Amino acid sequence: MRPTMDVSELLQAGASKQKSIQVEKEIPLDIDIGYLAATDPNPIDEEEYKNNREEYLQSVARDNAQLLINHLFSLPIESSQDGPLAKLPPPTTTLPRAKPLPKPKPPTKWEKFAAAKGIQKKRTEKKIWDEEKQEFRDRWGRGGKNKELEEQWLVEVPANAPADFDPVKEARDAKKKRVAKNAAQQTKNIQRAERSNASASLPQEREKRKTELERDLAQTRISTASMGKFDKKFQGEPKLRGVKRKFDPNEKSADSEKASALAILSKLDTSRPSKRARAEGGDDVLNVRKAIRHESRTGGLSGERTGGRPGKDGKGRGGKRK
Amino acid sequence: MDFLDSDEEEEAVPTKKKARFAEPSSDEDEDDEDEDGPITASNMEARSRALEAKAAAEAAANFAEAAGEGEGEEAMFELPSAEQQEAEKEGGVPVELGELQLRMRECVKVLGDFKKWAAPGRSRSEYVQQLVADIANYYGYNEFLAEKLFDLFPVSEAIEFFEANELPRPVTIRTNTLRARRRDLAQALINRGVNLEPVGKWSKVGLQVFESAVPIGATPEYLAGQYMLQAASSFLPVMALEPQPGERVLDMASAPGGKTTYISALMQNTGVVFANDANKERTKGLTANVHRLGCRNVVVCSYDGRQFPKVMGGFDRVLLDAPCSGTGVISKDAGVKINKSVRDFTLLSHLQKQLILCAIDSINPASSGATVVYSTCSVTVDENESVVDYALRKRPHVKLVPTGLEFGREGFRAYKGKVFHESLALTRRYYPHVHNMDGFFVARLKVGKPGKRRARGESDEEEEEEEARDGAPAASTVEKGGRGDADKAAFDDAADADIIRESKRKYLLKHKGIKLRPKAAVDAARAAGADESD
Amino acid sequence: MRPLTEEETKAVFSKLANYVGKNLVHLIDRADAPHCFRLHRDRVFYVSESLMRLAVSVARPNLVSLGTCLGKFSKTGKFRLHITALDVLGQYAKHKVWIKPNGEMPFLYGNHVAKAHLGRITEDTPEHQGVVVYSMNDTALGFGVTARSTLDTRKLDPMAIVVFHQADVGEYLRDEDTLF
Repeated sequence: MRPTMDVSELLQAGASKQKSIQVEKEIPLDIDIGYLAATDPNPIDEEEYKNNREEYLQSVARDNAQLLINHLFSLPIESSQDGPLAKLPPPTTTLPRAKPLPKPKPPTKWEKFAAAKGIQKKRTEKKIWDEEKQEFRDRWGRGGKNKELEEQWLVEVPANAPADFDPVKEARDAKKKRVAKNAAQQTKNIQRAERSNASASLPQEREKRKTELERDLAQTRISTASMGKFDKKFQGEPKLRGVKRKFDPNEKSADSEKASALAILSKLDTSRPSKRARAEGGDDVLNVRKAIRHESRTGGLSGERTGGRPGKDGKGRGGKRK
Repeated sequence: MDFLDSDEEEEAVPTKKKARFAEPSSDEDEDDEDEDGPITASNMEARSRALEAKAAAEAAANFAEAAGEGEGEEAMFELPSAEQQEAEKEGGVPVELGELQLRMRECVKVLGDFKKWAAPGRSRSEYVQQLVADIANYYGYNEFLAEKLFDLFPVSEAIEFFEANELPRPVTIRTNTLRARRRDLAQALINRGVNLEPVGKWSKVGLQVFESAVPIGATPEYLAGQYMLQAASSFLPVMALEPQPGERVLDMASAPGGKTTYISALMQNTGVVFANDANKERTKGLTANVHRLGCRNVVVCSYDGRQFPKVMGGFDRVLLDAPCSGTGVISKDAGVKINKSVRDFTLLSHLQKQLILCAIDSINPASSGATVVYSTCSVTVDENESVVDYALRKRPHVKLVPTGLEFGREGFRAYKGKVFHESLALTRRYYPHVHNMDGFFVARLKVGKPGKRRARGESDEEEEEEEARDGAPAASTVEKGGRGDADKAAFDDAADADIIRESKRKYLLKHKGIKLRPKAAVDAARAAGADESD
Repeated sequence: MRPLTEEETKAVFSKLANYVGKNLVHLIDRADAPHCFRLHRDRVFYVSESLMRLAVSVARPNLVSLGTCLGKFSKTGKFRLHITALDVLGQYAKHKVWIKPNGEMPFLYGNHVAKAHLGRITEDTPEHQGVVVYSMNDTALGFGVTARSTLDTRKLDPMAIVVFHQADVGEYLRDEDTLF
């Protein structure tokens, strides 16, 4: 008879090599198995941590993982093709919201008015009691109460109605008008809301288009060979906004400044408007009129000058005074 | 301003100076008529000398008269008792002006020779108290200011001072040498019916106006910038400053521009003059004067003077005509008599001390000029000598030098228990009753290289006490401690050894990136270290 | 403080040229020290370059004036000469007018110069020419613009205006608040 194999020792040896699946914790872990999450509230052993950090962390992690897995195995198990599957219960931990809370919608015009007047919102029932038929009917929709007038076979015609008065059309038009008005109010409310919460950040469509247009205009205006410098200015032409003025630096070399000033001066001289002044010899090197008078006073030709000086001198003065 | 008034309307002309030249004319009319001929360079000097002599003689006569009158009435005078004084102060017993005058005169006499004249049993301080109260009452000062001014002078001179404050000073003008010569200007003004004389030997540009048929502040010559209406006293700081052509000069409080334009004229429109005034409104008048007088080298700016070394430094010369209480110009502005309090004086002197340090710091010590002139139109000591003394203490590289002005009294070297630096005798004081110009103070400081220390004669305790009173930052006390207590604070090598070793250890460990051990370990190490050293 | 732009320079030069003519070159190209034109708060200053470089350290709100003020730009961009420019104009003026002593005061009050007050005038002064006005003892009093040429002046009656007032030194007192 073969002696029975005592595997208990082997098992013991194997078990001693492997760590126990039983883990003792001073404070039990908080396990939310729905998220497969475990939180270890036990304080870390500081001394151990300092001495050999890696080992310590590993062991703690292993223990906790073991506990989580233990917990997993306590769950009801279904078998499938891929193997057994544990069925996770719904998670208990409430996770924080990923997105910010929606902002409250800006109140419509009516809501504002109602708030100001203290008007309570009254819920309108869809059904409305019909006295004649003694039953509840829809307020709107197919066979709705609001279509009563259109669908009646006999309608009272006002006394002053025109000959081609069509009461059904009239009623339908009125209804359509109301619907259109409501739609318009709604869009207006939306626009208003947009404007109120977007006014700070981005300009309104219209404004944006306006500035774009103005910029384009300004650009085209100066898109000439001289970059608008010599263009004719119209009276009342609006000044270009937002164009930074640029000046020469305050401290530049005296020579360059002098040169530029002289250049301007020379330009100025050629285009000086005071033609009269120049015609009268204002700035000419030779004052023609004065020269002529001088000549005539001193006797014109140099040859005569020596002879008739005293007499002519007096005459000249007289002429000046006249 | 209305300036084209003809002669008969001239009383209505709102020129401030108008009233002043009307006054002295009363007694000088007869003297002037006989020598009314045109002023020439030759007789100018003689005339001015004669006038000065006459003024001196008059003053002497007045005083003699005052003293003489006192002699006869000795028996009648009796000092009021303390109760009477109290009653008088509260307005219970009205005192007639004549009586007041008489009493003042008696008090002066008694205080002049106390042993001889004092009533038995009355103390000197009683007489002084009574006299000050009477002065305040008679001339309309508040008691605080009356006492402050009274303490500046010997008794009889104090009365002269108060008397002089009631009289207007002569109108003086300064020839703008950028535009005209004094002789030509004098001739042009004489042709307009202005009666004038050179102001004295000490100034080559000043003219004194006695009488004028036209408003002196609105003649075509004035408008053309040939002269400037300027008090004689305000020539002095500029003369002390001695600006040289091509220099960079700062005038810290320059409005209305009399001194600035004088500086510019002395520099012959070269270099740069920075004319600063804290009051923006007043810079308008300043700019007008600068342009009218044709000063092309002036930059007018409007900063608080205390900003100055920050805005710009490196000046060759700085003129600080500090804002002051105006106790020297009471004849111009009688409001000073009552509206100045203790607080005003402390605030002003604090400001002046700040300003003078700023002025000194704005100087470029390397320049050949490096001069600061400090002047005020005030006569009190705490706005003048004590400010300069403060500057000397705070800036040891600064020293006082002679002002270069040939007249004026020496500044106080000690006042009411405060002892100033002995060089304060180099400052100059001007009084209305002595020099017939506004009360004025001029000090000229030479700024040396900051490294150089001046040997100081004063004891350290006094400085400390001064500083505590001034409430100024005690920056210099620290260095003073180092200097004065050198023997006391010698190094003790044995005691230091431990500390040095410990700090070395810390330094080493820190550099190796090792954290320091807990305190117990350090203590142990220190004990071990001590053993080793033993 | 900044240099003038080209338009501004043109405006200033054309005004100055009215008084000093070709001598304007001497203002720009000086023999002694380089000078420049600077604009500060609408006012145009004619200032030596070294002075300007120092005045740069003064902050804009604190700077009041530097060198010589020539005049100011109006809000509409026109340049107007101030009386403070008299020194510059007087130095280089081509045409001058001297007025008699009895005409000094009326002129200093801001009135035009009547023919009766005219003492002397530079020969051949054309019509509408900028002139510097002097008193008979050669003190500059202001400047103006001639109403008639020298020739036409002779035919005028004594009360007729010969020089239109532009600026006079009386403005130092009259307009002290607005001038600076």
